[in-house]
Amino acid sequence: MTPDIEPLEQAPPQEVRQAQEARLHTAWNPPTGWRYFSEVNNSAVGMWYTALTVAFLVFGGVLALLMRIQLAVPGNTFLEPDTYNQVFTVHGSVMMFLVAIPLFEAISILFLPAFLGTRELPFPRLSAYGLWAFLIGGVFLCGSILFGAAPNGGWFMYPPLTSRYEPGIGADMWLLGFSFIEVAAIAASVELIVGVLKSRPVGMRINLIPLYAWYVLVAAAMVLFAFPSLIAGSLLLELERAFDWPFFDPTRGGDPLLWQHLFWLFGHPEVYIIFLPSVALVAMMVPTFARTPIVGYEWIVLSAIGTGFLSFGLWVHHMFTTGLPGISLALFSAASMAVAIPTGVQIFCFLGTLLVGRVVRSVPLLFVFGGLATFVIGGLTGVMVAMAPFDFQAHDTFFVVAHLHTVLIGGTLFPFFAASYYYFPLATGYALSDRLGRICFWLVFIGFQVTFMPMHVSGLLGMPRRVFTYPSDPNLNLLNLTSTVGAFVLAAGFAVFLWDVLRPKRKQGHSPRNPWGSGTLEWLPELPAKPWGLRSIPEIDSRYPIWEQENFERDVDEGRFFLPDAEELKREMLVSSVIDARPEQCLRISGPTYVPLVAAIFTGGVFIFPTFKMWAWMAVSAVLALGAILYWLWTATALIPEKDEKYIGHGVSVPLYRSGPSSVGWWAMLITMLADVSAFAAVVFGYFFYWTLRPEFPPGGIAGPGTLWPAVALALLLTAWGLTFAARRWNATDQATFFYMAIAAGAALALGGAASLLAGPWTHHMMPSQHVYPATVWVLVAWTALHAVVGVVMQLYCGARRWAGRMSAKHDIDIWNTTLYWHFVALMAVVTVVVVAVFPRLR
Amino acid sequence: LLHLADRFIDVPSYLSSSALHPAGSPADGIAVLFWWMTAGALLIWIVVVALGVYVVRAAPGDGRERQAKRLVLWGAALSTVVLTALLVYGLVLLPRTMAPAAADTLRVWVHGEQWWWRIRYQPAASPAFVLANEIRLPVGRPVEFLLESDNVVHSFWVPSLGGKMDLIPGRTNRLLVRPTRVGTFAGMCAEFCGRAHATMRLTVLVVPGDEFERWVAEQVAEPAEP
Repeated sequence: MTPDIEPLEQAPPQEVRQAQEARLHTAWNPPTGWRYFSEVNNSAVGMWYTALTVAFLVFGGVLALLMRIQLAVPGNTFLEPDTYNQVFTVHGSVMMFLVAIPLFEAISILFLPAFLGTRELPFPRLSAYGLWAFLIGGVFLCGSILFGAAPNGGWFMYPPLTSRYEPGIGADMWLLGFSFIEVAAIAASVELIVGVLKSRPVGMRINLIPLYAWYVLVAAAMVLFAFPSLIAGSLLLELERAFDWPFFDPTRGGDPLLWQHLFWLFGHPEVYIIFLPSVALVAMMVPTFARTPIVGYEWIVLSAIGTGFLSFGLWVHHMFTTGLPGISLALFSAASMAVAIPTGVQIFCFLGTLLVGRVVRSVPLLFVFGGLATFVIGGLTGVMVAMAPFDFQAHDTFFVVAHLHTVLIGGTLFPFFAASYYYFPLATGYALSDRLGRICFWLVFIGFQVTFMPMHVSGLLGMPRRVFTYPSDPNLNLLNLTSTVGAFVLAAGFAVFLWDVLRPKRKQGHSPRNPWGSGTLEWLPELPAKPWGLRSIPEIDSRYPIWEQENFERDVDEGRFFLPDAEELKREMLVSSVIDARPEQCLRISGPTYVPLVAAIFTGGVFIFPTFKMWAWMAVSAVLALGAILYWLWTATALIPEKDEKYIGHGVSVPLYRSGPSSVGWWAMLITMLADVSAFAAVVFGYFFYWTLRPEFPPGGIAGPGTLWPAVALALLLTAWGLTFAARRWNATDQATFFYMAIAAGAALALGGAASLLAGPWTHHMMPSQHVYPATVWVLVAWTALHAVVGVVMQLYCGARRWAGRMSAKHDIDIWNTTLYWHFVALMAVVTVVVVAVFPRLR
Repeated sequence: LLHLADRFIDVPSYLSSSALHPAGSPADGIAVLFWWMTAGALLIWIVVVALGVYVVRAAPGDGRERQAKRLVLWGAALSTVVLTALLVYGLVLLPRTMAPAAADTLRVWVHGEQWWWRIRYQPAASPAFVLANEIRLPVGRPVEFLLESDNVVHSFWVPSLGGKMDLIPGRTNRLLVRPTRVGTFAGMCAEFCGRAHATMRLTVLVVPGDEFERWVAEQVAEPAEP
């Protein structure tokens, strides 16, 4: 494939173009009436996702106002202590899990195809599934506060407070509900990563990728490695709450600090997962208003990647006061300060860009600068609290409340406002009001500073966090009252924004195309956007194609590029190679369906029923969820197309079906399994945490799982893995008998392997509630056994697919992905067996 | 407003507590560190905001691209230098907070309850005595707090004397301070510990050495009820 494809010399004749548009319309038009909610297209799902996130933002904001009313004066009785504790717990949790993270995923689902000049993301039903899971989980959690049943142990959920001192369902709701939402967030990350890697337009080589996509790639990759740690921690804590497995109980060998490590191993990268995509929005706006390409593209990309890596080495700075040795404090202090450098580089690149260009002033740019002025304060106080000695004073006080809100509001909310004013025309076809935008900005900016600047002082005057009241003191009283007044000014600014978004706009008419005169791809669509997005998929040879590629809009609009038609009336998109974006496949993607909604409801049941100890309902829900997901895969995934190749224009034909490493499904499996293995690694980390902490781990007097059963399990599982691999080869060579035999034998051995894993601790009467050692062994073997069972389902699915004629020697996505999954099962089996059977012998 | 104030419940009267008016070590060193960092932060903030204003107003022209690249490089280089200097200066304070206790160190056991402080003194050659929510210390003598909890995580904090340290079930943490000024100071729990976390406070009385010795003798003679 030559990278320098030119658009067609002549536009296709008018009647041809009209026929093409009619077919595209049939394929892409969203369903109408109540069936609209079966839509899975990114523009609909992204819009609902964003709206839902903003709704949760308003909810979290109202909770914040309740807290500020309570703290307006000392000794206030506006909220009961218990209510206050629920309010701050839910405020923190909602803002983190239901606002900050979903916001980046929602905006990315909405706009990433536009940034990449494509029509869709590769897994539309997965996006819809994530959305519905988010809705169900979020409403469940927020609703609980209306019944006074909300979690009240803080968003950080430290045991033993949350393991043994919080009866009621609040903590269970937190652990299970947020695990559910985190699974949905990982699903969205898989979608976004594969989107950036595999659905770029022809010619968009890796050095031409829009900065937004780079940032999303980094943030989504961080989700894969950060969230699993919290999911694993939540699993352990819920096991302690529900079944008395003593992971965090020091009287039975556990340790509360393990939770803190697992939590902050998630919690600190989380800050950058929130922050990087917001910087990404700024990186898209700055060149537009500077009328010049970004300065230091490569530096920005490297800084973003560097920030991502460093952020996994900072978690201990949340634990400076837990009594760690001085060397740890020094190392983590240094690492925490180091992360300021790549952050600074990004800011200087933006300032440099504005220096080069002639700056056009606008409401979005106003918010960018308000955010910059605010964020820099937060960054500098961040350097202060990164100094361990100062943190001994500032930690867990209002100083940190001020610091974190300055970082998150300056670094995320201001860019979000900027992006809202900037991108509203792209999303809806209408512009927001400039006048209201300025009013909103000044209210939010002044309100923010008045609220949070005094908190730096009140913290150092001895006001700890999470207090429902404070002793009367002239200084504290004045500072707190000021903060409360500021909070209401900030809220007023937000109300102006909401009014601007919701007010009727039909009279003002549609926004012109590319209203800000941007050079980047996302501004290519006509406004209001057509359901198919781009009329044809362009060839890219610049970072600012609208500025630098001649007649670009015209060529796209007249269908002079790729895929200008939908001959078979199906939704189609281009899949390209990872590094140099050569077209590899024309991928058919799903149209409207309710399957993701149904699957999300039943998956929700799996997480929600255990909160109320309704185990039977949970089992029923799990079976139904599995059924829904199998139906989803069976009916519309990896379908064998009616022809091998499809002509996409410019003399290029690409396959309609690809399997193995060139298929998007293989990448999705790989990425999902990386997240899965990270969660497993977190559990293994737990085992070795106890191992290094306690000289008597495994403790004398408690039997281990022995070596016989683990060895048998390992042999069986590795054979099952080998058979899966062989089944893929025999399928490819069309040796059907061997294929079915390998599948059947592999499934039988895998089940045997899973049972043998469990037999180790079972035959040695290991009681998980007796001590943390048997509990940890049980978690490890159960984890791996469960994965083997899922592997069996996948093996049998492949057998059935071939039997039903939905998989063949050439069309073998299913068995490729199953084999890939089994590589990871084999890895987990080896690690599990070595850890539970070999390590006890080393002591 | 006064009418409203009448409705509010009584709160314990305010005691002096401020990390910015230290009455002991290491709080004094940390306060100096804080003022240096604040001054530096203010300076950097002014420079960045001034830069922001300048880049918006500056007219484009020849050589701007080179200036922009230089801005990024100098920005990165200067941040690295400033951060390294700060790191060295700040970490020098660390050993003061973690040094092994000196020979004349007074040891005070602090036990976190839900929601009060159980304070235990163990004078040499006499029985231990226990107090609730009150600590008395001799001025000028190093003190080692031994921090324990058998319920939830708490955090012991007396801002005027030094930083905070967590009380974690299953562990014994240490915190070293040396009061330098006679007075009454407030302490509080800084780690959320449940319903009444906000009211889990204590009083620290720093008194002259001889007065402290008299007080200990009284306590030993007549053990206080916790």
